[in-house]
Amino acid sequence: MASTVDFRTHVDQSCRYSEEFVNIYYDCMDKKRRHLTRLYLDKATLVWNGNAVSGHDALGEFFESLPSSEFQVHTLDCQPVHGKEMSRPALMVSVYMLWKVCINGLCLYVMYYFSSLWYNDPCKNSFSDQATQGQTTLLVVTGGSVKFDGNKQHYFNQNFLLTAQASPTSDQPVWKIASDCFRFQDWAS
Amino acid sequence: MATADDARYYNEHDDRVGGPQFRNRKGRGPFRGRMYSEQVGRPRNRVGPGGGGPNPRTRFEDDDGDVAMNDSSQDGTPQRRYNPYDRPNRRGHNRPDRDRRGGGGGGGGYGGGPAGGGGGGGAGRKNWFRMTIPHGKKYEKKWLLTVLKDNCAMPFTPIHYQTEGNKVQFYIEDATTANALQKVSRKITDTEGYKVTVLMNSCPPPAFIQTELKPEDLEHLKQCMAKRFDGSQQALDLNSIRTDPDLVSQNIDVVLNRKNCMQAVIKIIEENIPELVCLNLSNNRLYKLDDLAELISKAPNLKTLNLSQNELRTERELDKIKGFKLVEIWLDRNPLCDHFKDQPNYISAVRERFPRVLKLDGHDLPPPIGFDVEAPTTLPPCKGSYFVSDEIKSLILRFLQQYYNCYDSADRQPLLEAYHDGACFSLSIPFSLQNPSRSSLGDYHKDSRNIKKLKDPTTRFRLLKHTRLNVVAFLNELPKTQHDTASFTVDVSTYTNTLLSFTVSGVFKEVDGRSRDAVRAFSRIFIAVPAGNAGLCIVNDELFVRNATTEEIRKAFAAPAPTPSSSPVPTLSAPQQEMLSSFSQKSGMNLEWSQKCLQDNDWDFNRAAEIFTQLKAQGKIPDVAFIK
Repeated sequence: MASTVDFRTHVDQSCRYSEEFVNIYYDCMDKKRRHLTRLYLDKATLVWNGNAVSGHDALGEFFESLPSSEFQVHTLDCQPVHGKEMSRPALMVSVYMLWKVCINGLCLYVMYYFSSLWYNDPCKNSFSDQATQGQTTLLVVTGGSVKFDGNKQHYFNQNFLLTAQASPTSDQPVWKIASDCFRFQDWAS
Repeated sequence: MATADDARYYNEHDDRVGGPQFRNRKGRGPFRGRMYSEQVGRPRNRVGPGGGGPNPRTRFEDDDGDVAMNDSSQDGTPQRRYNPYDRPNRRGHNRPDRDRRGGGGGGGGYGGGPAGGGGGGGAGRKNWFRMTIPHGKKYEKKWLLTVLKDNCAMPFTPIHYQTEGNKVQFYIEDATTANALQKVSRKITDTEGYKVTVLMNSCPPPAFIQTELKPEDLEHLKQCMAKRFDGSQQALDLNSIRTDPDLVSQNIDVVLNRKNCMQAVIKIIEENIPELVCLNLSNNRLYKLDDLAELISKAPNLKTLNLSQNELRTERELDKIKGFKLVEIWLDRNPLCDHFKDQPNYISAVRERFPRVLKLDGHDLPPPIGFDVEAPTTLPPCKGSYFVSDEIKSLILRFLQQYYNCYDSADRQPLLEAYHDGACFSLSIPFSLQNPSRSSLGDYHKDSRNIKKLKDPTTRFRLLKHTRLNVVAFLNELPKTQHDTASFTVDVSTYTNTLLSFTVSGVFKEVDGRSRDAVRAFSRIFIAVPAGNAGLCIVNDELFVRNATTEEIRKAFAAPAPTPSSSPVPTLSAPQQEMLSSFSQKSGMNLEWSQKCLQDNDWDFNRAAEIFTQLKAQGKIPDVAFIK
């Protein structure tokens, strides 16, 4: 179990990384759109106002199809993401308590059935197994406004899961976007 | 013939303040007698803001001939041929003024008093002059204006012609024209043998173009415009608006060539019909389009503009409204049309400003051929929830139902079971410069973690809640809520055998505390790991809260708004009808909305009134509710 000191450092670092990431990402999005896919993992997923886009090629095409943008980020929050470290006792408690919470047995059975599907089926999503299996992962949450050329301004909320990857070009690992979720606040109007 | 040297000669002898004075002496001696009023109009160095710099070309734009009083063109039509580098009516001046600062012929006097530049006029070329004709009252207006026009070197547009005592007064918005007019003085003899005198005084822009319309007049104007608006075409017809009986009967004078009137109209368009597509401004004596330009950003969809039968003098006016992406334009019966020697030139000049125009003066033009440099401007359509698969969908929906059942209850303690031991939680709200104690999101402000604005590492750490005990303890302190699960949108962004992350957005209502009934919108990211066989265990939870928009409130917790044109269905009992009209009167809302409010509150007048007052204070009632 990570000690408090380590965790504190972890949090501090996360903040610095996410600040840097946000600068790089939105600058790239506004000014160097063609290079944006470099920030994504090969098999990353983007959910953009409900449209799912997966893989470098599809991502590249998608970003190309978007008009030029002007982003302004007003809020930024981040959290280090816990990996698989789950202590046994906690697991037992979780199972028991969740069972308690269920309303009736049928509900429990349904949950069991579906979750077992999920649990037993490896790699449902082509997203690699690297996610949080000992890999450093970071959750970055942003909010602000964006003006796409030819469209009115929208307020948006976005979040990213970043994961540290070994880099072929340098000694140090680099952050890559494993998933990206973006929505206009007024997407329904 | 006077040369530039004369300017220097004048400088030596000119002890007036304000820098070098350039004058046009028109071939006469330096000491020709003049009246005092002429001196006031002497050209001075332009040092004002805006376009008033000593730029000869600026002057020329004004000097291209003022608009005629009536449609008949000037004598000597060939000299009216548009030519930017010459001034068309230069009797006696046959020297290009390009290198003269401030221009010759009376160009460039500054409006306003003796205090240097600025004066009342302020901005550059807009200088006003009051022309007076002593004893002018005895003349018939038509005769007087005709005779002035016939003798004046330039056409002019008299503004606000009126008689005062025995004299006639009107305003001219341009120094060159004013000077030209003034030179007519004592050249005309009337039928009784007296000479007609024309006096000229510079003055600040008259009040009647500056004063904003009174609120009640604005309201009448809005109603009048509403009548002239065709919703199916998104078209507004303001042809001859000044003579509209509704306005005339109320004694409201909407003279569109005045800045205050044009601004009022633009404001009404901006606030009520910004999606306007067609606008007809014909027959409004418009002689400049500066004020209309303000509409460009307010009505971005405008495609058709009718400016026919106005007093636009030159095609340069079109430059001011180039921002409109017009597809159809009407310019006929403006003086500027006479400047073109043939149709292709005319079309070309119009296309220069409006490359996409397909119809000019009602005639179709061949479509222009463009270049495909246009970048995409369409965005992919926005869709609802993305679940990846039906199994995930059921899993998540089940989870959310249980989660929010607990979250919306009086005690959130049981949520402990849903969180991992080492879970993290943080909260953020939109950045605002507003004082938090006065903001309606005040309850959330002190715990909002926005690391863009918050730089202190200790605070940043403190605001991140860590371990499930801390997380749930904190959640329990947040205001009690009622979530509208029907409003939820879910985006699943990560799904692997070890991790599931999804974002939920929707609305909720606060059910107690000082912000009771406030409707908030939220966006919440859950990152969860499988919890044995039974579901999800949250490892990260980030919540973003903001105030809901009127649209969101309407969709979520209230029935959809009725269209405000039909009258309410008459199935109410007599006392209900009475209550309805009373409520409508007191609240100011139209019958539709009043009825809804009463119905929602079981026809309890007092309760409905209370709810109404509360919602109104919170700014939750859309403006459409008050349109009768």
